[in-house]
Amino acid sequence: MISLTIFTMAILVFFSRYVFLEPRLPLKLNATVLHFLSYAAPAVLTAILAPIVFVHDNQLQINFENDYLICAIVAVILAITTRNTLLTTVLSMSLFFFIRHG
Amino acid sequence: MAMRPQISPLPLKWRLSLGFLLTDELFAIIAKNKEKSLNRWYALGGGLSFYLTWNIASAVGILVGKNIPDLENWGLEFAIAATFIALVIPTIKRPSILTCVLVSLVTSVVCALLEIPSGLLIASLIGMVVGSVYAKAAGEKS
Repeated sequence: MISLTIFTMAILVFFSRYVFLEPRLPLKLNATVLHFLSYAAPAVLTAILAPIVFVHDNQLQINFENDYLICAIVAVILAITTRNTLLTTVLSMSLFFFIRHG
Repeated sequence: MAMRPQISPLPLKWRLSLGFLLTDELFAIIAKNKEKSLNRWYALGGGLSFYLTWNIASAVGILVGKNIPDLENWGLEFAIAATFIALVIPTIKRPSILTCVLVSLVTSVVCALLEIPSGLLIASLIGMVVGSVYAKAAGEKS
């Protein structure tokens, strides 16, 4: 049963990607849809990260005892000033582990 | 979908293998060289490297993860947050994208607090709708 589920999911995921690469499929999206889709990446990424930063033990934590929030603010500042993805990630994670375990 | 013009003319063998390997990350690196036509070997090499690294890292995680005590308290989730912040900030080039990000942020936190199961989906969709409506209303050029 589990292997069947995994197999079905594999086919679904692969098919959903391949179908757009198939030349015989007639597909044209209009400008409005494409414009709408251009907001997908920032919206989805933000919706994943925001609860990790703000919510702990089912409570809103906006205070300076929340390590996640402090490091997230630092990461935002780093991202704006350096424009460097790797540097931002590594520095803010180091700060986080330093606060936690240092 | 964005890769369609470049990949769909390739033979079936290439379409199948690149379709299998096409992840968000691979898309990010091959979409950069958009002006040039797609180098299929470059895409294949990049895709295979991602696939291998991902599998090796998962295997290490499965084997080692069990032997590390209280892994939950390490706060590894912050790695996700840090990476995503670093990815999202550079995409904010227009006021409508900023609106979209802020709306998505508030909505996802509210959904998490109310323990709504598909909060991620709801928050993303509301963020996208508000962002594109804002762009229309403000007459923003993309």
